[in-house]
Amino acid sequence: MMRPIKYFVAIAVLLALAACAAPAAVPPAAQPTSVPAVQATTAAAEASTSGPITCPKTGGELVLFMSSDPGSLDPAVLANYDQTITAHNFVEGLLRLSPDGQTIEPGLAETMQVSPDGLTWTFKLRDAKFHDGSTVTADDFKFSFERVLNPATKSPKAWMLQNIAGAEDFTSGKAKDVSGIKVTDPKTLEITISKPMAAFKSMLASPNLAVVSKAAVEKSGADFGQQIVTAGPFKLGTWNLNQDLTGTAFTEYWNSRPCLDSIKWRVIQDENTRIVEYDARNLDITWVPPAHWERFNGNPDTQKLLNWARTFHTEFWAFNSDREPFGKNAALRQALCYAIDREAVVASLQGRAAAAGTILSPGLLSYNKDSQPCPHDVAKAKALMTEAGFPNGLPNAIDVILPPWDNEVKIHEIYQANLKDIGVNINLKPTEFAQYQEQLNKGDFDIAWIYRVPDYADPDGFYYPLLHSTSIDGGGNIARVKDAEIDKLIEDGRASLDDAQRIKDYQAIEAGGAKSLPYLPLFHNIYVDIRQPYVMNYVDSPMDMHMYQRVWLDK
Amino acid sequence: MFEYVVRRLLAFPFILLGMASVIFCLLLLLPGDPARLMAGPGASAQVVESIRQQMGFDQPIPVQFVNYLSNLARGDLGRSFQSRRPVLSEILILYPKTILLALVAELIAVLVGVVLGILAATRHASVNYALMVLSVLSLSLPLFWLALLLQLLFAVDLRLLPPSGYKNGLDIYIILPAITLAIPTAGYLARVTNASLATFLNSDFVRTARGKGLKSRRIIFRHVLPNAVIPIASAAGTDLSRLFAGILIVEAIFGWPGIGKYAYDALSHRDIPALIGAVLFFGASVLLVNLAVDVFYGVVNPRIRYK
Repeated sequence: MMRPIKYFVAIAVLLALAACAAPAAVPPAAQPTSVPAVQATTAAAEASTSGPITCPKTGGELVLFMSSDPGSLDPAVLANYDQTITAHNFVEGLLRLSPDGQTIEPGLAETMQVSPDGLTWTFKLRDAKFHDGSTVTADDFKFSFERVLNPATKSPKAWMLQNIAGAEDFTSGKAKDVSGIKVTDPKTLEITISKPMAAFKSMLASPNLAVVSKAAVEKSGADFGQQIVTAGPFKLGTWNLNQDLTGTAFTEYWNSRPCLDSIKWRVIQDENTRIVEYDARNLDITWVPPAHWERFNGNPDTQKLLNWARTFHTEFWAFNSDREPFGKNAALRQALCYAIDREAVVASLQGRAAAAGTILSPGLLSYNKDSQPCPHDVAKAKALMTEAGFPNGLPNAIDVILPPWDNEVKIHEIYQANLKDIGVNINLKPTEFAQYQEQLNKGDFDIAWIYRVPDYADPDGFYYPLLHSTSIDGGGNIARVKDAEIDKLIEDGRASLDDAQRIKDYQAIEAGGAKSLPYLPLFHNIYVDIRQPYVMNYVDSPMDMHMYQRVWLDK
Repeated sequence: MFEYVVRRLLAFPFILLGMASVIFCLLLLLPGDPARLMAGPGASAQVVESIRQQMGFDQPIPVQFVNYLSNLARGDLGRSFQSRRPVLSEILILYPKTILLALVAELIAVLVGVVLGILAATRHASVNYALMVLSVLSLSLPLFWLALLLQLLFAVDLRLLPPSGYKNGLDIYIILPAITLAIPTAGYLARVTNASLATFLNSDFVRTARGKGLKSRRIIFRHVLPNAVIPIASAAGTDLSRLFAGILIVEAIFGWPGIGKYAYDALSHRDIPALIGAVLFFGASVLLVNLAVDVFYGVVNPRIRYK
């Protein structure tokens, strides 16, 4: 009989291996410089037109990668990266984000009207079909939204609809349906929200609020995630667990069929394998890992195949407001801002990042083009240290927690060296991802590296989670900022439907409370991937929601 | 013998339940709140709480534990948090692919390792030395690096084999991952074979065989190998458990849709039912392999008898 200790060792080895394996499942760390971005923008503008899809050539299969199996494509449960990058091609809601991520386009709603008080939103649906051939009706939308809200669905995005009148009564079981979602006729949906909210429009473009066929959900039950019946440009083809997922062109898509016959996402976790597959022409688009950057960027033939996306990712250091010495000492936080050499880091990232001076990512409403990141100025940083009361540096070393990603740890070694110059010693604590998240949510850290991708393309998607006092403890306010003035500006920005007013509110946040740096902005990421020469009309998405209905293959 | 095997098999469910308990407790110690992970970063505390209730996480831990074990005893591994599909049905898709890869790799390793071991033990000392250096080298190479080299050589330069992927089980796609997994094991088995043969080659019965004029090949295959096979089988068996650990890396690199990658994803998403399911299947495989090795001892060596 084998001794139990052996089993234990076997399990321990398995767990240890799992814990050390490369963390490829998350969007690659920082990326991008500036020159080719101009070309990318032009290409994006052409491809993002909302007119009918036009295809110089139709047919073929586009082969892409995902780092792990999305598991479920049920719009209500979409949350992780591999779900987001695939699902957007299968599902569609009332509105949708343009491929370049800059505008919100009509999706299944032909028109949208908002009442002057901003509370009643009326949508006229266009003639559209589900993948099973049945017609999309307003009833399906009501069903879909209530399904997301229903606690039994355990949707990670139910909070997006919490603002609808009657949502609370529904989730607590006091009402059988949500009174604020009314079907006035099969093609008209009327949504009443309890307080005005401009960002609601961006939320409605989220794949989580896409329509699902009521009949199909009732038929598939718990297996709906693997048998989705939705109304996006591609319908579910074969799906081999942990191996590949295929989407086939939905020929009855309301905006005419996609150019491709199909898209196949292969599960390839290893970034080197992806490049090997790209070189073998088995993969049509892949992210460029640092080791291969020179080879592709240094050669004019391959350089023109690179696609640059200025993503809506921003990376920060979050300072825990509840802890000394950083929490209460703005001058100390500012000293760190000037001590960090962002240009050195951008260089180490091969130019695939832009130094950040704001919380908000460029490309979103209210982004101030004149904002400047803190320059690398050691003298000024030292002066601020003196002002902060630490002329000889900090007496104790400070822990910085971050996920255990090699690329990120290397960058932090640069910060570590930078901060030594002003007498601040930091210990890097790469922390297993789930534990890291737990520590962030509980405020169990002094300094934490974090990144934020907004859940919807609106400044509210940054400010509300990061800075509003109700977002403390799990809602995204990692720095635990409690500032009534900031709360008020965020609420005003949320409630106003007037863009000019919103810009004023949000810029006031950046100029005021955010200036004291509860979050120290580090970088806006630029995502660069490379396509095969025959892949045409591909646009990178700043929200990681790449859409392929207008992509065609020239071969 | 039959009785022995039955008794061992009867113990399996209890060992597996024990394993499940250990994993369950280990997972409780891990930080990371599954309800919070499911509810998403924007969720209100009330929503998180309602999810916690539905999943039964609000129950006292002993109650959760008993519930879990009683489901397990009925063969219900629960539903994956991530895909919300029954874990068992997912594992049944993936597990055979992992086993296929492991067996093919082990087969290659045994063939190559034993042949090299025999060569090393019976040829000139310089051959022995060269082969043993190779064997140490193969044992010390990191798997991910080895995998990359093989990919570059066979898929990029020679274009003989696909760099990664899976197709119908036994297809050319299995060659590279299987060879990668087999190389360290083959190196190890070559050493064991060499050492085991060396012991017997100096023994009295071999001298007698030589003395009566038997050919060296006949001595090796007829007299020495049958004696030397037990340590080799034992090494091959224990090494199979190590090979399972290597599968985690190899599956990730070669995009092999097996259970190793599944376990990795489950751990990073705190998908507890999926993780426990995967570990139980790994554990059961190790148990079976060990039983097989023990039975094999009895078959090849009549002096070993089980009661």
